[in-house]
Amino acid sequence: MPFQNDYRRQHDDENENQGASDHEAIVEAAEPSVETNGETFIDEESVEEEFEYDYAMSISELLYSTSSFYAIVVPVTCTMVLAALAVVFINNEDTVEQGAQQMAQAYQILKIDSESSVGENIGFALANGLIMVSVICLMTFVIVMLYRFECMKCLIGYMMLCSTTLLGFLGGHMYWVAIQIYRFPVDKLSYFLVLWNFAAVGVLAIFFGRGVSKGITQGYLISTSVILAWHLDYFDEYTTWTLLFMLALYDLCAVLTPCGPLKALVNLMSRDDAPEMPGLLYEAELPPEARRPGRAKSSKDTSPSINNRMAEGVDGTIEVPLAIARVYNLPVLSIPSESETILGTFQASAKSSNAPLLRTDESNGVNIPENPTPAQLNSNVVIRLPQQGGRIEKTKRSGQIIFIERDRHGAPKRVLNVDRLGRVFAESTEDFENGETSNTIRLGLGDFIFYSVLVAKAAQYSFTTFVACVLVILAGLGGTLVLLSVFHQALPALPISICLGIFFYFVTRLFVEPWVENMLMKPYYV
Amino acid sequence: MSSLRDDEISQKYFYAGCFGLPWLWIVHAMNYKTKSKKSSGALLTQEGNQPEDLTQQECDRAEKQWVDRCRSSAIVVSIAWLAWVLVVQVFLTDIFPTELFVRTAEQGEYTGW
Repeated sequence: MPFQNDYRRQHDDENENQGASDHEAIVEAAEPSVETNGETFIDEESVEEEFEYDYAMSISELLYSTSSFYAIVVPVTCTMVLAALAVVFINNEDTVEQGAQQMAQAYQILKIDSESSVGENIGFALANGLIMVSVICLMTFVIVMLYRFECMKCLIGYMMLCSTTLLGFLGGHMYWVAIQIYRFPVDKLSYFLVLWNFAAVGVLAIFFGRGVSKGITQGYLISTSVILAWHLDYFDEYTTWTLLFMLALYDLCAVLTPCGPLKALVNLMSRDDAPEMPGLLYEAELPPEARRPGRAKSSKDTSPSINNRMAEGVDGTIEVPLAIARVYNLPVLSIPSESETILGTFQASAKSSNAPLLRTDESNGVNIPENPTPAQLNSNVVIRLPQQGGRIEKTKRSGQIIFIERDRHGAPKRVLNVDRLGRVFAESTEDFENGETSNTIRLGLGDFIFYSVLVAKAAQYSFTTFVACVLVILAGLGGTLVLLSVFHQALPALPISICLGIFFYFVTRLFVEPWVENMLMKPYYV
Repeated sequence: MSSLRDDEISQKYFYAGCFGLPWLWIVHAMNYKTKSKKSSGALLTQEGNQPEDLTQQECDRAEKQWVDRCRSSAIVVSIAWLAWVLVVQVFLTDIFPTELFVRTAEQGEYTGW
């Protein structure tokens, strides 16, 4: 199964412990004593200040959690409601029976049937669930290994294939069932044209993103969750509930235990130079005023505590592409090892041709080509910035390395980026500030899927169980977000919500609904 | 793909849409309409280190040209497809064989009951 069922607090440009480290940095910076007018104050005031700061920090954490909850609750609710509607209205008895048979043949090792006792069926379902979770765990380890060794083409190619299959074939099956049930007179040309457009644009939107609005991308992620939840709902009752419970336990272990694959994946993705892995996470925008605790409010903050900014060395040296060095006429000190093959090849061929193409920086002994190729322009060189002039800062935005030009006072002037042809483009800092201060929260797509599976299964029984499960899942999600702001580390999103959902489903089905029916049957007034 | 300029992306999307993807044209045109017009990059040169506004304008013009082509092509293809759907629905079984449809019409539908 290509989707992960974990919840991780993915930072756009910070580590997981950014909040804690910033908090520690600020606490450490608090002076134990302050001198004013020659007097030294005692530590008690600073202790009170620290206490007030801690108190204020928890308020900001709570406000941030609230904003995060409001941002994520809308897409989660939409997904659950759409999945429930799809399961209830794009199905009839024949399709449910047929789907259950196909899923049983495909996934059940130990067959569950109505002739066996309840205890036997539960045991078989647990065993089948254990096998499925084991396969999921194994696949997760494979993904972690591919990510660890940066086999991104292989990984993203596999995920694109899965998305195409899901949107095209599974979505097409769902569309076909709807046509059969509601007797839509659809010709095959229109059918395949709609499917081809839906799948191809969906893959482009999810994995490339540029040129497609964010709403469309989010819509496709929700559609992916709904389609997969519709198919997974074909499992019988025993398998569905035991699988959900086992997945909640797996999520708990995989994210919190040191040897968990999801914990390893979260740690790998939290690195500064970690490549982006699209297709797994739903990203929701937070309001601009909702700031993550410990994060600098101004984009002009030059604090070194922001980890993704790679500051220059103590001697004023920094690695920049050759294109930027040429534009600003900066002296090249040396060539890093990774650029030697690209710049070194040119030197060798130029020497063999005896052409005076090389401009030798005699003071530094570095050979720089006169007419560099695009590859050479994109290769890094070590330059020294002028002592009294502006600065160039290297940072990361949306997984892409960019350079910020700042004046001598530290104020950003413009943002530089080098295209694949080695040309240097400048953007205004306003656009950079807008991008840098964008607040997002991310939730794993697997969470959407399994919330939807639970709610859709409850909806198949009755509306009361559906509503109860929706509400408790949202409550569990809110609780998880509160815990997230307290513990400042990646937490699994499934356990609390799924366990509450399962519990309240059975309580509603066994106690609440019969009680309500009895109350309605026997009026208390005459 | 992330290193391409906006006009290059628009061009690639137009050509990709020619492979039977009018929905891609529609989505891209919608994105162009809603996105904020920001300066996506002025080219810096070594001489004088001044941005060349003309190049930026050319990029914007090229992007608008490709987006307009996407929009026009999407309109043409959508009208053609709607015309096809109307023809199929009106002349349901007179011209087209039943194998053309995903779901074949049942004989009971024509009894009037």
